[in-house]
Amino acid sequence: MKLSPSSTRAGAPTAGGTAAAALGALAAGAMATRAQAADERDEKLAKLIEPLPSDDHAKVEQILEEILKAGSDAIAKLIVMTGHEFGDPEGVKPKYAVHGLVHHVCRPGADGHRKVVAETLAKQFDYDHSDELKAFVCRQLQLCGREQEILALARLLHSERLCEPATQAIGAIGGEKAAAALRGALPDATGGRRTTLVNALGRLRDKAAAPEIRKDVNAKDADLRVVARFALGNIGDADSADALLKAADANPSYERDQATDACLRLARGLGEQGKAADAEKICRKVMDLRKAEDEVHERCAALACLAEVLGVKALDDVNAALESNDLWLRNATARTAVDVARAIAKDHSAEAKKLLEMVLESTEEQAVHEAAHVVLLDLKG
Amino acid sequence: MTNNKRQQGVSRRRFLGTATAAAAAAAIVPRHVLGERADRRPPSETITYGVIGNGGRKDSGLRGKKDFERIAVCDVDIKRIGGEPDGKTRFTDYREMLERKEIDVVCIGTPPHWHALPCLHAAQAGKDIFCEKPFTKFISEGRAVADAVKRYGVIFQIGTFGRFGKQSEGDRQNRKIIKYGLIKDLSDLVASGGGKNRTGSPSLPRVDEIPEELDYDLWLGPAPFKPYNPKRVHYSNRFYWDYEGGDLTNFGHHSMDPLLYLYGKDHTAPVRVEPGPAPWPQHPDCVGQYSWIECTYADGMRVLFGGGAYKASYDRPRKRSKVSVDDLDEEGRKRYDALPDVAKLVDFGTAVRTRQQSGGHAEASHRVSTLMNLCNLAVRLNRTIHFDPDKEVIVDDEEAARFVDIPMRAPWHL
Repeated sequence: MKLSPSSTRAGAPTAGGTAAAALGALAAGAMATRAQAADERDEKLAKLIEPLPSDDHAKVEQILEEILKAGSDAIAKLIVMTGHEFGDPEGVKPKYAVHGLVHHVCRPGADGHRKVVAETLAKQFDYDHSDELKAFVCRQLQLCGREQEILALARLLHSERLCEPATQAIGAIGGEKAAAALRGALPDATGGRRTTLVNALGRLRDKAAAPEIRKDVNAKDADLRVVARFALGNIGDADSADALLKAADANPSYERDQATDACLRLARGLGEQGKAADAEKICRKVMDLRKAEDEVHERCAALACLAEVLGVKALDDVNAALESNDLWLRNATARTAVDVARAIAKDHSAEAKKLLEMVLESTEEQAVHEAAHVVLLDLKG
Repeated sequence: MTNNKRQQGVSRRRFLGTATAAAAAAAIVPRHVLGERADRRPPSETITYGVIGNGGRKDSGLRGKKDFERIAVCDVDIKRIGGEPDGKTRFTDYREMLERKEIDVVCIGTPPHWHALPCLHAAQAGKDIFCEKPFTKFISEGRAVADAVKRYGVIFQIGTFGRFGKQSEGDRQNRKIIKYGLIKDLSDLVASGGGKNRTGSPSLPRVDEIPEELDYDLWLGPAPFKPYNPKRVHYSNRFYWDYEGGDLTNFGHHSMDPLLYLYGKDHTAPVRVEPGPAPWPQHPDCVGQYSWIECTYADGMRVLFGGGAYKASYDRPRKRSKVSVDDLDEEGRKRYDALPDVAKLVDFGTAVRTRQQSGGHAEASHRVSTLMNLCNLAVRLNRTIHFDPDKEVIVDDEEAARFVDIPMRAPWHL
């Protein structure tokens, strides 16, 4: 398949106005020249990449270096040769080449070449390529893109098909500019695109997105609702505590499980922010909400979270669980208690030792005994 | 949730109440001994399970085992559940199946891109988990599941059992010595395993007719959207990066799980992973081939994985494949004697009944998956990967680092 960035289908952006006529003639001539040159490159490039993949790595490196030497036009040509339709058989070799090039220029010490490849990839969004080709480009930028490519990727966030690959690429690049780009697209986003953006902002733990995401905490759409709660919990948004706890105080369901998990994420996040008292309130509220026998697993999780946040100050709660009549609670707590002992050992060795002795008494699990004895040995020095 | 899993233990206070104070003072019995008698689920009681992913593997890890009874099945292909979902025994969405209180365990036989999330959600729903190997598609999935299993106190078992056979005295010495670092330099120790080396077709054109019985969107789940092609589903998905890691992770998990147990590596990962020569570059969609991959741990020990037609000869020195107490100096021997013996492995059924960690537990499975995913990554990128096993991050390689935690398609997230 012969394709060119300067073909009608994938035409270059055009200018308007009277000056355009003159420019147009020049451009047409330039495009024709480019098309001729592109055809030559098609043959040349196709022949160059024919040996790929190969276990002669020196040969592979030589091929990739030749492509780099030929410049961004050659790279652009290869990208288009991967095909507008997904799975185009004629696009197989070009895909090996482009993908190999991405890995090659991402190796430590090759950043100069990486910039050229990333820039050339991002430039493809200016052309009228198919969505599948642009999705392929997004996936490559997910690996080799950096801050500089975020703006180009962000222009795809309005597209139903391309929002997901663009969001994933931006999410992988990460950082404040990535979050800002996703956040910027959120107010106007609806449906699947909104869910995609909220999901990504939650994963990035973008605090600035919290006010907009709070609007979705009780959204009609179940996916959006669950994702919004996850996002707010993961972000550590203190202002969402009441809404999340309310969502966790519902009839048993998958959605309630997710809301509970969001509450505990929030607690951990608050703990990280130094808001231990707020975190503790959430953990205790969850424990309070889950008193039934068959909810012990959530009590365990809340207790584990409490111990993570409070450390030595959670020992009364941990010890009480180690003395519980409930085997599930006791054994689960014994496992996490060894981690607690390890964490507090340096500054509170006596408490750590006492905790480990409680652990040994409370469970018959040999693996826990093994772990506890090791920590005790270290404490004894 | 069945009440039989909530067996109430006999408390120390209750026990003492039935005996004389003098007798009690003379014989204080540890709680776990009391628990051993009173807390266990009666052997006659069945453990019920639901299958998530009723394809090739189905519930082969649990089917026919006398303790277990299958009461529900879930698959995104309704042909595989014997008809339309009924909300009780047949489901297409596992999240609905998890809401059934009568189910104690989930048996996960989906492709790996659909392992971590059902495990996480099962833990959040208080279900114990039997999950087929290979465990996870990327590293942070395994960490998320291992943490959730611990926090929620559920029991986890991976679908491979080779480690249960590594119980000889020699095996136990080997494991204890290496696990506790009693020999500082193990650079002459190499353990090896291998597997098949198949690959898929790199060209998967769109096929517009998606079978009526298949919910393709749910089949994809967290994987990137790509147009439907029959090779993306029902086993051949094994050879596409979006869903799993080909034969390397498939066979790797079988051969490396007992190895990592034997060599005391259940709680760590290699610091360096180097690929041997294999056809390169890899295709962006389709899994390619590998030759050997050398993984070096912090103590110098190497694990070698290799396979198939492209297995080049590995010619680096390897003096020994095991250690024993005879290799310890006096100081080492003292420490060996002071350290606790290696805990016996508990089978899944016993683990569920007694609420003890199962032998093929989540942390170990995560570390095996980490090893295999790093191997695949080194092969894909054609370069040595450096990994911090404590922080679980890839060092000094921005592109490689992005493979540790891969964004999921919404609405899915870890």
